Amino acid sequence: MDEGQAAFRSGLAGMVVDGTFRIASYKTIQGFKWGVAELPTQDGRKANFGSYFANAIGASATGEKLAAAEKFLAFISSEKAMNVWLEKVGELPARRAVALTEANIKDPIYGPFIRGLDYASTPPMVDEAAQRQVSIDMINAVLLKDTPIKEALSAAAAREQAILDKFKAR
Amino acid sequence: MSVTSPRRSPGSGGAWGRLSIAGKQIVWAWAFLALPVAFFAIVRFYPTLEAFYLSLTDWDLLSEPRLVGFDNYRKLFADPVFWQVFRNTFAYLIFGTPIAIVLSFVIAYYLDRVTFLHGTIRALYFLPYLTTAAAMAWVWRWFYQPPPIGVINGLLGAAGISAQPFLRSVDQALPAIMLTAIWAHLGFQIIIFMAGLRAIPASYYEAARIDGLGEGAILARITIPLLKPTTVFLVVFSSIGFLRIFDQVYNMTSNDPGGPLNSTKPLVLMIYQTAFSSYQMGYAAAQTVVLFAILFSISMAQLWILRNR
Repeated sequence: MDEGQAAFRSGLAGMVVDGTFRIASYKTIQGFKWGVAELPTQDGRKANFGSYFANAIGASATGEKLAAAEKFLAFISSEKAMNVWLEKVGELPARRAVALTEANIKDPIYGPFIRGLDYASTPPMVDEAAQRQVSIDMINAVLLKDTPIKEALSAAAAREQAILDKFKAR
Repeated sequence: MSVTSPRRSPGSGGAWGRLSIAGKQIVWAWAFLALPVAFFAIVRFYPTLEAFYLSLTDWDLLSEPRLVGFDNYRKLFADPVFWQVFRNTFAYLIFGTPIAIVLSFVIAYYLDRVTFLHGTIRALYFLPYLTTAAAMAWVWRWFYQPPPIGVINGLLGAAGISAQPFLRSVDQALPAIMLTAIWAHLGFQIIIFMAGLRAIPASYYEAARIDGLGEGAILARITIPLLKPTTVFLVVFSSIGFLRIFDQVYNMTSNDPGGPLNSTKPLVLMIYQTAFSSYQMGYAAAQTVVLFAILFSISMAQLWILRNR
């Protein structure tokens, strides 16, 4: 369909820009061989994106529930749990001891992802849906409305800044 | 049981006993009506009134609503996206309703004369109406995909016509989605029109034929005027449907809801996003009040224009 990962899985798209969370799904592909490469560079400049999520305990938790939550959080962020996460989901976990193993760095699938992390940056994300929309609209303005790239980029920057300003004002 | 309960002597039944039969019937009627009345009051009317109040506040669901006067309305009318959405909503209405009504009338008119496989053909037209809008929207979304995935582009390619972007275009996306919505409701409208056609007494047609009227004249002088109540109902019903179109748009553009570049976004989708992805409940309430005003005035105007003189 019109989703990159589905088109790639069914062999209808040649390339897809994706994250490690998709690896478990791609590993079930039967029909063809696939590999991973770092993002292309421009004039020798490298750029990459890295984001992460964190588990947290609600501020209102107390007593027995707080103790249970702490126990669960300790488990879910343990090396043991992260190894299961890496194996079943395919996503590189946060703990360096689990993610940056010799085997992973040499792995043809995980290797390029790990190398990309060296120069990856994480922009501030305050409203994922709204910020995603800014990028989609920027690209569509160039592709569908022939807006000059510079104009589309500065319009997107202004919208992005407005979202960040609104969050900081709170 | 009857041993322990005191026996009532005739004429000592308290307030209930003194009621006449008509009075008792009224009490019973209200007892049965109480449930739907309470339901509508709590689930329909109270939230509607609450929306008017909320539209004057700034509320994010977590903190207390803060009164801000008409700020939400000022913000809405100054927002270019709102006017784009407003135009889209009316595009669905102005093109969708007449196309749907004319198409369903033509199909009903001719289907009414078909005797061969009549039931089967009627069922085929009605089938889409039974299907979940979301499932239907996803199938159509697949139809509209670029080659080699999309069926429509596959057919166009076979006929030597260049591939069309459909949902990936700011000009074609809205008509493409509107077509799906028209198709989805066609079956219902055909059935209603056919019921209307069947309700016209055959003697009118016989009399007209004896008087030597042609088919065209019969259609213009008898069929269409006598179908007016049916048409009024369907126009109002279909207009309300197009004004609050959501399912098709949301499901066919879920990667970029209402896109590309807001070209397919109807008012209801804007309300949904304001309320449930930005959590600006006051602003969303102001948008619903605007939608309510539009729905109300258009329905009233249609009833007035198509009224019985």
